Amino acid sequence: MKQISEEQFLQLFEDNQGIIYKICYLYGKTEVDKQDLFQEISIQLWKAYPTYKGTAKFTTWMYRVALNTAITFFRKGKKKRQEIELKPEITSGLVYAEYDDETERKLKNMYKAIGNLNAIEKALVFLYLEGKPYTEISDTLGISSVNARVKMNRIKIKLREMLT
Amino acid sequence: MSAVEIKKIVAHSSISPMAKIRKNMMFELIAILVVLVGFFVFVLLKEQPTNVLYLGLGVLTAISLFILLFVFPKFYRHTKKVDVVHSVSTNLYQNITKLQSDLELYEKTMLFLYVPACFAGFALSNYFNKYIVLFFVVFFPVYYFLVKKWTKFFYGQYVEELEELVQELQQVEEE
Repeated sequence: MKQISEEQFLQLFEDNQGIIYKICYLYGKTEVDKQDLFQEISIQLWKAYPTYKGTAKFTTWMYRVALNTAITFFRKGKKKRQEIELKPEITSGLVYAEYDDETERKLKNMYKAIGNLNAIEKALVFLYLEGKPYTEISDTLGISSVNARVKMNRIKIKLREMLT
Repeated sequence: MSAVEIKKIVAHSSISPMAKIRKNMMFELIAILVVLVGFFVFVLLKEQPTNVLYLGLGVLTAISLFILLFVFPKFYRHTKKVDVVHSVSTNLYQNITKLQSDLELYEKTMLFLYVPACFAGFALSNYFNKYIVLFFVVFFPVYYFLVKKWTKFFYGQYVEELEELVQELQQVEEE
């Protein structure tokens, strides 16, 4: 497979930037964090794109780069977990269906609960919510698919506890 | 966001914590070298040049060359290399290994800088005064302890946080 051109990369980036918005939204605690993380993921994608040979789907490759960057993008005082407030501007890149107030409230609460998970758990939840199969989740995280499934079940219980 | 806007964003330099750590370490080493060079120049202009002063300048030049030829290129390579395309666990292992090796190199370089600092002290008194020699020998363990603490406090915490994430993945595998 041959390397993609700069124009092709920019086009693919533009088409799939929603992935980055979602990751920034999950991992960033403040607005500045989210913007910085967006910038850093973009830079890492830019630096890494010559290594993309087209053997995997572009989005799969993008998930890896973005998650790896987000997971190691610590901020001072990271251990003090904060609840994230939804800001419309950061979610503007997300494509959501129309929700009623109740669904939206539940969704907000769920995202708040996810915000309290650690970086690895967030990555798992993110890929799960993106509808990725466990084989792809395990491949991205570097763990077996059985363990990814077990871990996901535990996270679901944890989230349920947080939400009740 | 359009392609033009994306290109504007990627034109910025990396702001990742690891890139920042390496930049800070390089800045600290440069600052110490500048202070030492400044000190030797000051003594050279003020006092009559002595063998101790020349020897001190020689040691400082050797260590500066070592830093420029070996330490900085290693930091630079580690900052520039793209490691984000592997799985999360592989990426974390690689980051930890590289960061630990950089911290080790930084610590060793800081300890090496004690030698020209000693010569700076000797140069000030123009000769190897036994009290100054004794002071530097006695002070070395304190300096060693301070370098260790400094490195751990400012940079080691980050390695610990990465290790916590690796442990999290290992726990998943062990269960």
